[in-house]
Amino acid sequence: MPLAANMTSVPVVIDEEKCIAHKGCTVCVDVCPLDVLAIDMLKGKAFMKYDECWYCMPCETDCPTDAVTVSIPYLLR
Amino acid sequence: MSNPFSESGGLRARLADPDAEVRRVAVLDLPYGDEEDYIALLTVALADKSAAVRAEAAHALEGVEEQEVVAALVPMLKDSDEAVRQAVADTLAELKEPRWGALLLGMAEDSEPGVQAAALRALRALKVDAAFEPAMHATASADAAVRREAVGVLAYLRKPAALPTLTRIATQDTEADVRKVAVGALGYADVDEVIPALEAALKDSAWLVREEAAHTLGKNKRISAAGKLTEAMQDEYWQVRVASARALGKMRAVQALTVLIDALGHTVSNLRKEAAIALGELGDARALPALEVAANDADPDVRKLSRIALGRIATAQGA
Repeated sequence: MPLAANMTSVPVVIDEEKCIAHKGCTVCVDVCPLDVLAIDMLKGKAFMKYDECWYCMPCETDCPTDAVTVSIPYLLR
Repeated sequence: MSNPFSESGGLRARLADPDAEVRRVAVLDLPYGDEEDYIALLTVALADKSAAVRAEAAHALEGVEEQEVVAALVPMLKDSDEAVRQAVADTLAELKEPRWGALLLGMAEDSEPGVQAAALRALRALKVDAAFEPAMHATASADAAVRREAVGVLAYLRKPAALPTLTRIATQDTEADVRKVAVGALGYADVDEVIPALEAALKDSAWLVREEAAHTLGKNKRISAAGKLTEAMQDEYWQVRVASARALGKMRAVQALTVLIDALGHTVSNLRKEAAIALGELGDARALPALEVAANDADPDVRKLSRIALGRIATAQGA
């Protein structure tokens, strides 16, 4: 039986079509209180670097292009 | 395109970039950068050809009270883009210094309702006398948003001359939203003439208006309104009852004793809390048995407030 050793999904998902990090935007990285978001310098897109989240939502709210979606776990909703 | 990752001092270059998204991000960064003259740079960005950049610059200039900025922002209430107009209206609404009145008054009688409403909204907090006449005219507007903002201006100016108009709007306007603001505005009037209108508003078809009417009667504290407020304690919305209980407590309406004791047994704990506070303000010993029961309520806040009320009544009786 195959083992799922790696996380395949994280709560903060970036729509790379919409993300404008390659144009100098770092809003989501700046507002995250846990500092778990980062910019992938090769792709020029934001991504969730550390899988830890308070579900506080500024990254989603402040994103100038609505590229960020935070999936809140069902039991927290 | 300049590479934003390779240089830190390229903010000015990014503001002039041909790509509108780059300029927009640069505007977002400006207030947090090292540029001494960022306000001047933002003012330039207000004239950008991209609406997204103009809106971002208008947002970023919130709280800046400088002649060049306000003079540039006011005409932008007529911007071609809706998001820009909204951002400009929000920023202008944060102005506090009366000297901007002259710039805004020109727009306060604009034929475009959106512009007029935004100008009146911005004028409200400035409390300039010159806004009185335009606001009085605007109360007759066909647009509800204009009427609401006009009422707001009159409420801040607190002039007795506006009371007949505000009283009429509070009871007769077709929009509940406008009636509610007018009812709240009557809180500044320390005269008996407004009480009948507020009592009528306690029977409004919209519960938000009824709630506001109860709050306002609590501010004006005319004991003559206690009868109508006692009736409002039977309102189908507990929110209205909460506001009525508070008002009755503030005016120490002893005739409301029975309805307030009844409210101590209501299923909504917010209402039980308010009833306990009000009974404490009445200071009438007849409430003691009911408050002693409420002192063992399931809700800790109700228990605490009931005990405080018991203490207040004991003090009032002892004095």
